[in-house]
Order: sequence, then C-alpha cells, then structure tokens
Amino acid sequence: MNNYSVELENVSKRFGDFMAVDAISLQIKEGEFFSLLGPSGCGKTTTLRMIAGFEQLSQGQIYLKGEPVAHLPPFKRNVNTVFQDYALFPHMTVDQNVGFSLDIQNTTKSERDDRVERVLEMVHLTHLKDRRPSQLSGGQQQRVALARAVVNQPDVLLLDEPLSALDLKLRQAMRLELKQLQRQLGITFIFVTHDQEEALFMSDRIAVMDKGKVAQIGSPGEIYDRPVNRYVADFIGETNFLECTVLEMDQDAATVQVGEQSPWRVTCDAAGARAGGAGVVIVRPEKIDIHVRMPAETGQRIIAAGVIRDKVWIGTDTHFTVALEQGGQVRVRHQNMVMGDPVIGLNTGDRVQVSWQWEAARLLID
Amino acid sequence: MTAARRTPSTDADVPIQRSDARFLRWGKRTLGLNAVLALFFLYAPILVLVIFSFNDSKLAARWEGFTLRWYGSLLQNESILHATRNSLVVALISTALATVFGTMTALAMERFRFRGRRVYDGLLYLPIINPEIVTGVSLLAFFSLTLSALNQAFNLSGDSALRTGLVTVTLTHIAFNIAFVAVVVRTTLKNFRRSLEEAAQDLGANEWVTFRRVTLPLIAPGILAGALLAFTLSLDNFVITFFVTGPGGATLPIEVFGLIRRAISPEINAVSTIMLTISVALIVGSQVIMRRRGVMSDE
Ligand SMILES: Nc1ncnc2c1ncn2[C@@H]1O[C@H](COP(=O)(O)OP(=O)(O)OP(=O)(O)O)[C@@H](O)[C@H]1O
Ligand SMILES: [Mg+2]
Repeated sequence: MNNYSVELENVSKRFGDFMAVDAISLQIKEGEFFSLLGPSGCGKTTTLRMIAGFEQLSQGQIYLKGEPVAHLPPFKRNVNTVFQDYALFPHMTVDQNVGFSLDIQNTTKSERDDRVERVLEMVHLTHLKDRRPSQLSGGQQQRVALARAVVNQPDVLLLDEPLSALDLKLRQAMRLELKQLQRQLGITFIFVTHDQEEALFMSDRIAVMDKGKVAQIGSPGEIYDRPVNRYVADFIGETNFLECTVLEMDQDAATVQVGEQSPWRVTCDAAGARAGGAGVVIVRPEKIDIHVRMPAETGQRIIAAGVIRDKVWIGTDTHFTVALEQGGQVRVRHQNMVMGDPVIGLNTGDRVQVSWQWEAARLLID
Repeated sequence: MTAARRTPSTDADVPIQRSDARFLRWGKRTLGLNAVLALFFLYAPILVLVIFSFNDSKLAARWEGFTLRWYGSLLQNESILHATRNSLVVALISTALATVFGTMTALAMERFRFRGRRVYDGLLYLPIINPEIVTGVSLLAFFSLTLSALNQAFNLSGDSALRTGLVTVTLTHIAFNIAFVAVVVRTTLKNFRRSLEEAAQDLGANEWVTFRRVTLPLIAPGILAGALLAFTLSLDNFVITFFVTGPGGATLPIEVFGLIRRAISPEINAVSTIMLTISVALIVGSQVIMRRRGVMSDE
C-alpha cells in the first residue's frame, strides 16, 4: 500500500510495432497539480487514456489510491476526464450535461440539483443552464466540461489540453481559474499540455515526456533551472548551448573549457560527467549580463568577450546575439530598466563583455 | 473581339473574359432548362394520375368533372382492402424487425473488428445492388425447396401444406430491409463522435446506460430515417414480392398490377394517389424529424 493518488508502474502501450508509451513510472500525490508536458506525439494522450481506462495497458500496472485498476473499465474508476474536444452531449442542456453522472446514480433530486447548482456557480454558468452546448461559446463549453467532470467529486481529474482551443486572452484567464479551482476542490489534477509556459505556470510538478518516455520529473523550478539533459533544457524555455571539454570534476561543480580560453566553473550533477570528456554548457539568456566595457567588480562571475551579431528591441527587453571570442554564441536578454542605459545603445558589430554568476551555467552530458 | 485577343494571363485578378461570361450564361440557362425538363418528366405523370383519380369518367383519357366516387368505391372493393391490409401488416412487421436487426448490424459493423468483417460488409450491400429479379427468383427457389422439405418432414399435404404467402413475403421484406436500415444507420454512426460515449463511461455510465442515454438518442434520427425508408420500400416493393407471394398473400402493388391487367380503372388512380400521399407524408415526416434533431445537435 502507498498513499499516492495515482501511481503508474512501468506502464507501456504498444500500437503494433510502435511504442507510444514506453515503461513510464509516475507517482502523483493526493491533491497535486501534475502536468504531462511534451511535444506532439510523445504519448501524453495515450498515458491519460490508460489512466482513464479507455486504453488497455500493454504492460505495467496503474494504481488509484493504492488499488490496481488496469483491469477495470472506465466507469468503475473514480477518475473523470475533461476531453480535448469537451465531448459535451449535444442532445442535453448544460444542466443535464453537468448532472449526467448524478442522474445515472441514485442521487436524490434535491441533492442532484444542489450539487449541479454549486458547480455551475463555481464556473459562473448558472445563467446558461438551460442552453444546449451548440449555443455556447468555446470558453463556456470548456467550463461546462469542467463542471460536468467535477460534480461527482472524482479522486482524480484528467485534463487533455483543455485550453488549447481557446484564444490567448481566455487561455491566460483560464489558467488562473483552473489553478484556483483545483485548490478549492483539492482534487488531484493530471494536466496534459504541449505548452511549456502553461505547465510551468500551473503545475506543482511536471513530467517532461520524450518519445513515450519520461525525460524528467520535477517542480517547475527544478525543471527550468536543473534540466537533466539537452532535450529538457531545449524544450523548456530558451537556452544557450556551448560545446565544451570537461577539465575537472568535483562535488556539484565542474571546470570546463569552451574553445581555447581560460576555463569556467559550472554546476554539474550529471552522472556521466568525467574529466577529459565532452559536454555542453547551458546558460539561460536572462541570466547573462551584457557590459559595454570590462566590469570592474566581477566577484564570482564568469566573463567572456564577444561581438554583437544581432539586436532586437521588444519594449520590455532587448535581445542580443553575441558571438563569443572563444567560439559559440549566446543569446542575452537584457531588461530595459534604466533610462539612458548605454547597453540599449549598443549595435551590431560592437565589441562587448558578457557575464553570469557561475552557478547559472550548468554542465550536461549526453 | 478585344476580349478574345487579350493575351492569356495567370493573374487571378483578371476579370472573366467576355466570351467566357457568355458561355457561363449559356451554360446556366441550359442547366436551368434541363432541371425544368427533368422535373416535368418526373412529375407530370404523377400529376396526371392524381388529377384523373378525381375524374368523373370511366375512361382515363378525358376530364369529365370532379368526383370522389373512385375513392368511395375503393372502400367497397374487398380485394383491394384485403391487399391494403396485407401491405400494412407486412410493412409494419418487416419495418419493426428490420429496424432492430439493421441497427444492431450497423453497430456491430462500426464498433467491432471481427474476422470476416470486410466480407460481411460486402455481403450486406448485396441485397441493395442485386437486381430485384435475381433476388426474387432465388428466394422463390429457396422457399419452394425449404417448404417442400418441411412438408415432407412433417407429412403435410393438401390444405395443411405450407406454401408461399404472407409469411414468406414478410420474411423477404425483413431480409432486404435489414440491409437498407443498416446502411442508413451506419452513415449516422460514421458521424458519431466516439468521445461522447467515452465521456459517458468516464462519468460512470456502463455500456447499457451509455447506449440508452447517449448513443441511442443521438443516432435516433438515423434509425428513424432507416425505419421510414424500410416502411416505404416494403409498401412499394413489387418485383421481389411478386415471386415470393402466394394465394391470399397479395400486397397492394401486386393487387394493382392484377387489376391493370384486366382493365385500367380510375380506382387504380385513386389507390395510387393514396399510396403516393402516404409515401410523401412519411418522407416529409422523416425530414422534419431529422431537421428538428439537427437544430439540437452540434452541427
Ligand atoms: N489507436 C492508435 N493506433 C496507433 N497509433 C496510435 C494510436 N493512438 C495513438 N497512436 C500513436 O501514439 C503516439 C502517441 O500518441 P498520443 O496521442 O498519445 O500523443 P500526444 O502526446 O497526446 O500528442 P498531441 O500533443 O499531438 O496530442 C503517436 O505517434 C500516435 O500516432
Ligand atoms: Mg494528445
């Protein structure tokens, strides 16, 4: 026994010769907002459908509250889904849609009406309860789907890219609302998305998926700041990659050399890292400072010289692409905070210095 | 002509050349005329038939004034009344059973992957494309074989012997109607979103509840359309029925055919007008139902 809300143990799904999901293991805690994040076709929907019971497992076991459920049909699992296309029943009103799960049980009329009323209030749809789905906007349909899926208080709510059909403004508003709803209900959410921003914004923890496998599981901060490999680093946010040679390894850190210049100190917890081997250094663009002339006080900062190759001004920030003297290039995101900032006056072709706190750079081996 | 001499251009913005415009106009007119002619050929005979069912004359060729007496005399015509009753019984029973079996067949074909599904699929369409005369002849052969075997086995002869009649007609109509219902229902199922059934199961509905509350209401228009088609086909069928019917088993089309061979009577016009009215009413009814359903569903 364990006290996980959902546990996947070595779960695989094979379609013919194709491994859509390849030996995934996950442990999701009670009341957690957990996201499955990955590019199109990496097996997110398939994983979700196995948890819901729509897809048979090729291998492995799924536990809900510690009970194995792989053999149970969907209607015997206390798990509800918000479908990507909402799947609202077109022949029923909003009220009937939301009340469906209660109507097919022996819920008394007054309790049924009560609960429907309460969730409709929660998603602000009380005034539309007699409409049919075809008479609702996309955002309203989405709320109905949500209300319908939580009205019978499932242990787990599965959401398959529920926001992808909405426009940007609405999507951003719904992110916040979903998050609040989840806190309010205390239900475990498993949220599927290919939008890393969405996942970072809403999740307690994220599983980054790659071709049917889990590449990394962690909190948004962990995944962003300590990606385990190039794939995760590349998929989440924007990153600079600099090929390097590892000179020396010590606890949680390494000394590396990019090109012929003086070595850099970088953080490292990669298992495969060893002195003499090749690796790649990653630094996020917003962690890099750009200097018009050599900074006086460097402290623990790594400094490198380069030439501006490209400059884009986007209001809040200025983005520079700087070719380093020692080889490779980095993107730098400079915040336009100070009026008359000399950095904003820099132009393509200017020689500059870039610097970052040594802990901001990270060695990956792959 | 300047328009014709203009060099051809790939630019989509160039206006339609004048000669093209004229051709288009000409084409439009021809097609329009064609439609009128087609409608004329389709409906003129029917119109004539309906008009002459109210003609106060024994002769079909001349209009002598308005009357309802042919409709009245129908009510006195024992053989026509009998045939009408036969037709209705056959149509009702065959429609009811064919609708159930046809719907089940359609569901099985759409939902399950079983061995020989492709072959079964093809076989299902056979009654639709098979020439009716072939179906008729083969069914006749089949029934006479089966019935004589049964008669022999149970030692039946004379009056108690089994022979073709209303029962064989009904069986036959069930058989071909299953195919038509299945095809119509399958079309509806093709447009049916499976995620709706998944949603129902997800919310705790077992297979039966899912079927009753979600699948059935949503495919009901298709089933109804199939049933109305089956009813109409059964009422109208002549060729196949002709082969498998027997003494006392004449349906209305068979009876009308028999009457015509004796003499063309305005009574036939009256019967035909009634049949026409019923068929049209059924079709319009099904359309109205489908339309109203359509408003409710997503599309
Ligand atoms: N029923 C099926 N038969 C065969 N292959 C399938 C089936 N369902 C999914 N696949 C394949 O499995 C892989 C994973 O599909 P899945 O739908 O889980 O991807 P996804 O991560 O949800 O992608 P997306 O972001 O595009 O929704 C895909 O390559 C897909 O082609
Ligand atoms: Mg998907």
